[in-house]
Amino acid sequence: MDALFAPNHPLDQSVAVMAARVRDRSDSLSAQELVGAALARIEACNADLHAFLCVTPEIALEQARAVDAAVQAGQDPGPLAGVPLAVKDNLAVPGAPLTCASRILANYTPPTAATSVARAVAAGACVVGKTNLDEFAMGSSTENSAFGATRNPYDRTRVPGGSSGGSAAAVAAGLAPLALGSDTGGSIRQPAALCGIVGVKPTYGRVSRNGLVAFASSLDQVGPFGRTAADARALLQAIEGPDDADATTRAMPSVAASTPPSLAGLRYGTVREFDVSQVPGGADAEAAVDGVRARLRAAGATAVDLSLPLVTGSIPVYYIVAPAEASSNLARFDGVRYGHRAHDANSLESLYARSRDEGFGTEVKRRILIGTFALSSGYADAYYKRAMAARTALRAQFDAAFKRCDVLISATTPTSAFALGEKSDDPLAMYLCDVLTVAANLAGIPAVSIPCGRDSRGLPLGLQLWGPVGSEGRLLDLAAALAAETGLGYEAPTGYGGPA
Amino acid sequence: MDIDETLVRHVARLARLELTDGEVADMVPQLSRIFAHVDQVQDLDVGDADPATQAPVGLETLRGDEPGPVLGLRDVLSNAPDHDGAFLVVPRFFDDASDEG
Repeated sequence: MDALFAPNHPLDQSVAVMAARVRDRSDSLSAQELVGAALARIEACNADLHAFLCVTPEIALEQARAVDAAVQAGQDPGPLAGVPLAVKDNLAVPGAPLTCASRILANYTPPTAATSVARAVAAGACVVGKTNLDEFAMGSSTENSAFGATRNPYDRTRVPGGSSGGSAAAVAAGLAPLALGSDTGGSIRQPAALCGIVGVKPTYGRVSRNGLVAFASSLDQVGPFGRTAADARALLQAIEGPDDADATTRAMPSVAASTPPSLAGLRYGTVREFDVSQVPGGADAEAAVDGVRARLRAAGATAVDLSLPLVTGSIPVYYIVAPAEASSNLARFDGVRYGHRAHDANSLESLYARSRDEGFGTEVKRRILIGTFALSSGYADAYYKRAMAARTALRAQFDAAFKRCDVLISATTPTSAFALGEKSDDPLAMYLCDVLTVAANLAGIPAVSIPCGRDSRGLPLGLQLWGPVGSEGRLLDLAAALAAETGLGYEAPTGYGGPA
Repeated sequence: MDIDETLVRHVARLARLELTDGEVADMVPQLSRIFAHVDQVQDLDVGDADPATQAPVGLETLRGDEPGPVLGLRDVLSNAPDHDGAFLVVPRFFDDASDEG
C-alpha cells in the first residue's frame, strides 16, 4: 500500500504536470506507467470503496500505448496525454458494459462511444473504468445502485453523495485524477462537495449528451470532476463544444483559462433563500461559506444581498419536471430491443410490464410513477404545466440577479456526508438533499462546487459558485483565485492519494 | 392530492409497470408524502410565465435533414434479448383468427 500512495507519486500531481511529463520524451514517465499506477490503486482500494462497477485495463492500456506511440513518433497526444479517466456508468465506452447501475441494463454493451468520452480519449485520456451511480442517476447517495453502495473515502460508513458518487469517490481517493459525471439536479456538485473535490455542472448545451443514457433531457448535462479547478477545467475544455449528434449543443465561449480575476471589485450575490443556517445540521455549511464571504470582502469584493423567491419552489418544480421526463425517456426499456427481458411473459403487454418491474429498482419505479401521474390526463395542467411555468419564471429571476452581481455564492449542500442507510427509507428526505443544486439545472446555468473546509466532524463541505449562461470559464477562474486567497482546497483522505 | 392503491395501480398500468401488491402498498404512503411537498407548486407566484419553453436555452439550429452513418445490423442486434436472423423475436400477440386476417 505504501508505494501506491508514496509522497510525490506521479498520480498526485496536477493533470497539466502529469500530461506534460508524458508528452516530454526526455521524461521517463509513460502513459502506460500512469495507467498502471491507477489500475494498481483501484485494485487495492475498490473492494473497500466500491467506486468502480467495472475496471477496464485492456481499454486503458491500449489507449495508453497509443499515447506513448504518438509521443515516440513526435506527435502531440493531446492535453490529457496518459491521464487516467474514470467514467460514470451511464456514459457509453465501446467494449465496456454500460449498466446505469440497473438490472435492466446489466448485460448491455454499447457499440459506440459517448461524444464526451470520445473527445476526452482524443485528448489523450485513458479510460480505467466505469463508476458506480444511483440507478439511472436517480438519487443523492449512490445507495440506489443495483450493485451495492459506494463508500465515502473520508469516512467509509458514510455516503459519497450521488448520483455520480463513484466518480467523486474515485477522484477524492486518488484512484483517477479525473472523472466524468452527469448532473440532472446536482449529481456532480453534491458528491463533489461531500468528497471534498471540484465538480462542474456546465451550461445546458455546452457538452454533448450523445451516448449519455437519458434521464431528464431538459436538465441533463455531462461534466468533469477533478481535485482542483485547473484539473476540472482541463477535462471540460477537452469535451466541450457543439456536436451534430446532440441538437441541444451550441457554440459558446471556451472555458479556457483567462486572466485570473481580481477579487477587488467582484460583486458576489448572497441569495436569502439559499441560506441553510437554520436548516437542521446546516449551520456548519453556512458558516464555512460565510468565512469565504468575509475573505472576499476583505479582498475588496462587494456583497449584494438578493432574494429569488422561486428558489423555495425549486424542489417541487424539479420533482415534477425530472420524473415527467424520466417516465418518458425510460419508456424505451421494454424488454424487446435490448436490456432485461422477463422470461415468463405470455403477451407483449406483459412482456413490457414484467420486464420493467423485474429490471427497475424501487427508486426508478417511484420516479416513473411520479412522472406518469404528473403527465396524466386531468393532472398535467396542475402539475407539469404549472412546474414549467415556474421554471420559466425562475430563469427570469436568475437573469435579474446576474444584472446586479457577477456570481452567486452558496453552500453546495446543507450538510456534509450522511451515514449509509440514514435516508434510504425516506425518499422525500433524500430529495431535499438537492435543495441547493436543482435550481441551476432548471435555469440551464452553470455552477461549480469547490472544497470549502471541513465541518465539526471533519467531513468535507462544498461551496457553490453560480454564474449566468456560458460563464463557467469565469467561475473556474474565480474558483482558482478563491483557493489561492483562502488556502481552501482538496485534502487527501487519510490512507489514500496525496496532494494534487 | 389523495393517493390510494387504486390510483397507484392506474398509474402503474399507464407506465407499463407490473407492481407487486407489496410494492403498491409501499408506494401509497411514499407518494402521498412526496405529493404533499410537490403540491407547493400550486402556491408559487409565477406571474404570467409561459410554460411552453421546453429547453433552458433556445434551439437556434437544427441539423440538416441529411442521412448520416447508422449502426449496422450486427451492432443493433448485439444487445437484443432474442432475435432470429434480422428480426427481433417477441411473444406472439395476435390470436390465430386475427393472424389469418
